[in-house]
Amino acid sequence: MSQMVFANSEPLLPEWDSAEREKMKKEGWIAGSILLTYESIPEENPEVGSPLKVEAPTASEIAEDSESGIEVSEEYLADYFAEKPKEHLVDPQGLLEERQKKDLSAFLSHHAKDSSIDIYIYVFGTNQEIPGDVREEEIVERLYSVGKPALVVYYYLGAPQRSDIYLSPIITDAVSAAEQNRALQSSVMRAFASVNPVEQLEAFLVQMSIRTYWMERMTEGTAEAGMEMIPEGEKARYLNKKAKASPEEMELPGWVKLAAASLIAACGAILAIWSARMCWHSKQRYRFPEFEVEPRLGGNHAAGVGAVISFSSSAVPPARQRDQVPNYMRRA
Amino acid sequence: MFGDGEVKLRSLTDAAGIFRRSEREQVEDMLARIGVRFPQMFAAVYTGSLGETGNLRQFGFWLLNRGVFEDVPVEKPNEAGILIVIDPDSKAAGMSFGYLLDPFFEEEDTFDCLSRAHSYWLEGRYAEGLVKSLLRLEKLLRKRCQLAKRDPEKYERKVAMPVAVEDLVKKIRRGKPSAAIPVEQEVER
Repeated sequence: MSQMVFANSEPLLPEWDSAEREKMKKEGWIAGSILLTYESIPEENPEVGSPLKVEAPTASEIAEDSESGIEVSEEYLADYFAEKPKEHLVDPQGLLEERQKKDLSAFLSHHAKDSSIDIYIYVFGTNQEIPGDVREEEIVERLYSVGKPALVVYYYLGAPQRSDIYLSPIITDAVSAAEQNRALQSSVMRAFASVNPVEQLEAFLVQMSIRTYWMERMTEGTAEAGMEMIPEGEKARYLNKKAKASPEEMELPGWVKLAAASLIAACGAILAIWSARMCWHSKQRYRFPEFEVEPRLGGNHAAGVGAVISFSSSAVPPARQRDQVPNYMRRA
Repeated sequence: MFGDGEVKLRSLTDAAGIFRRSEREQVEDMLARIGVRFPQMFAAVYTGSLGETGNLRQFGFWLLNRGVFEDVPVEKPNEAGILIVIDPDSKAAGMSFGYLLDPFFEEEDTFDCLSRAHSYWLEGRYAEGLVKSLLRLEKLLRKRCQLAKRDPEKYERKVAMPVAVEDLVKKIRRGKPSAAIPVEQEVER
């Protein structure tokens, strides 16, 4: 029993001589000092000083993180929304420098010359908000129902993701909401390629100009159908511009058009003649002249014994299988 | 060899049973079409096994002379018939035609028609081959008919009966020799 108690009890740890221990401490290290002790094992020190690797915030995150919006001052509202702007770029607050404004206006004017859909851009500050009593849709309906179709952009300088686009009521039905959204998203994506707010705006406009080409394709016919309300002068100018915009028609000389028309007419005539001929053929009846033929071979009605062909072998052409030969006479 | 009596049959008689129902309709339509486009004529098809001793030429000749085609109008006699016989057992087919077509049709033409079906019949696609063959027949008949209208004498000469020798002597005595006589007389002198 006493032996079992002895076996269960833990052996005692060796004890340090205090002088020796102090000596070892001074030398800097005591072997097994962490394990051979009754004190709890100290926790490892967390790494201090190594910087965390965190991605820098993107332009959009910075924009989103900004403070809540400030409404556009009332003094500018009339300049923004009172009437249809004469320039394609609307910046009464002077957020853009004159030179930048000039460049962007020139680009938008150039776009207007080439496209059947104008782009009007209203520029606001990064944190600005349009007052609640101003309804953007209503503005577009009021100002852009008459005249050349337009795409209106409410653009927030430095925060392209907040932009909104609206189309003239004439072409709203032709361009689906999904397509409008796609155009906006792709333009925003292009804008985010840069950090500079003005460069963002330029990239945004370039991409939007490209997207309006596809909108034009969708609106072909629709826009013209909705032009009853447009004044005659404006309508003529629009149609004239649209006609010029078609490169194929511009490049085709007169003789080519004439040749094409002649070719189409000739094809039509050939087709008509062919149809008539086929119709006539199908209705035509054929009668053979009847001659007196001397009966032969004792046949009262027929003696015209024609060809016989055999179709027993695919290896031999029909011309060599003209005589009927019974199977038992063929070589195996 | 095949018998003396009349044989009642239809324009499509599938005794060998090689056509499906839809195929029968297809072939019957084609036969009817020939009958409509050539109002004097009719086409018929017989399928059956003739046995080892059977000769397809002889059988076609016999059947067209002895056959009574029940679904063919009476104003179209067998003289105006074209008969295609197919023997699926001996894997052979033949074509016979009546006296009406004698001036216009030759063995080469019948071979031309039958050979159109050759590749189909090799694969056992009898109806398809038959339709191809009948289409070719229709085209050939149409061409021959147009040529015959343009130059009927050419075809008439082909089947003209030979002039009897007695008639020729009578003509000479009457002083109206044929074109060949003066040449012969000159040779004798």
